[in-house]
Amino acid sequence: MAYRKNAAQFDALGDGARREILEKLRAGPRAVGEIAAGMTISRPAVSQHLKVLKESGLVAETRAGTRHYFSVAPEGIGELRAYLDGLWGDALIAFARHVAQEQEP
Amino acid sequence: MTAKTAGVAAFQVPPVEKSILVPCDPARAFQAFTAEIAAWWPLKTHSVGQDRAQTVCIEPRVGGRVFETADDGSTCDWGRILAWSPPSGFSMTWHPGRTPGTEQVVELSFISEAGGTRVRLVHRGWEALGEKAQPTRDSYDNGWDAVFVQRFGAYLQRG
Repeated sequence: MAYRKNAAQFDALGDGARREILEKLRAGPRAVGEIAAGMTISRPAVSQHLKVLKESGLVAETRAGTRHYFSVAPEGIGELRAYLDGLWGDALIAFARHVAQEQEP
Repeated sequence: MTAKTAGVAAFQVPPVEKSILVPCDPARAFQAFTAEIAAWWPLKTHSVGQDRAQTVCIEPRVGGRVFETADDGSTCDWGRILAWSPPSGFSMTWHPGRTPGTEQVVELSFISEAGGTRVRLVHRGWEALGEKAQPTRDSYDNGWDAVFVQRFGAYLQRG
C-alpha cells in the first residue's frame, strides 16, 4: 500500500492541535506541562496527541531522570518529504515517457 | 505571545517542488497530464489499491474528483480540483487513502520554454488547509483561483 505507507504521518499532521504542538516543539524539547500551557485543550488531550505524534515517528520522547521530554524527530519529517519526492519523481518521469513516446515516428 | 492563535496551522513540511521538460506545447502537455493520466500514471506502485487499481481519472473542472477505480468498480478519491486553467495549470487537494481532513495541495503549471513545456509541480503542506478549511471552502477556492491565474496567467503559451 504505497499510498498508505506514510498515512500515520499525514494523519498526525492533519490535526490543528498536533500542528500547534509541533510548532511549540520546534523551539526545543518540552515536557507535557510546558506543551499544554497556553493551549485550549486539556492536558490529557495533549498527552493523547503526543502519543499519536510519537507513533507516527514525527516526535521523539526522551527521559531525564523522572521527567519526560518531547521533541521533533527530524528523521520523521525527512521520511515524509522523501516519500513525496519519490512519488512525484516517479510520476513525472512516467508522464514524460508517455509524451515522448507519441513524438516518435 | 501570539503563538496560540498564529501557531495553530504554522507547522508545515517544506513544499516538495519538481519540474520536467517535455517536447510539446503547453496545451498538449496539459491534455496529456490530465485527460490521459490513466495511460501513464504508475498505478501499480502509486495507488491505494495497488494491484487492484484499474484506472485513474481527473474530472476536468473546479470541484471535479481525482479518483482511482478498482477492479470491482469501487472508487477511491485522491483529491478535488481547486483551480482549473488549461493550458497554464491546475491544482488539486491531495489525500489518497486518507480522510479529506489530512489533505495537502498539489499545483501543476505548464510553461512554454525553448524545447517544449516546463511542467512544474509543487506539493504543499497544511498551511492553508486542514479541518478548519471546510466551512470556508468556497471563499478559499475563489481566493486560490485568483492567485493561481495571476501567478501562471503570464506563462500562457506564446504561440
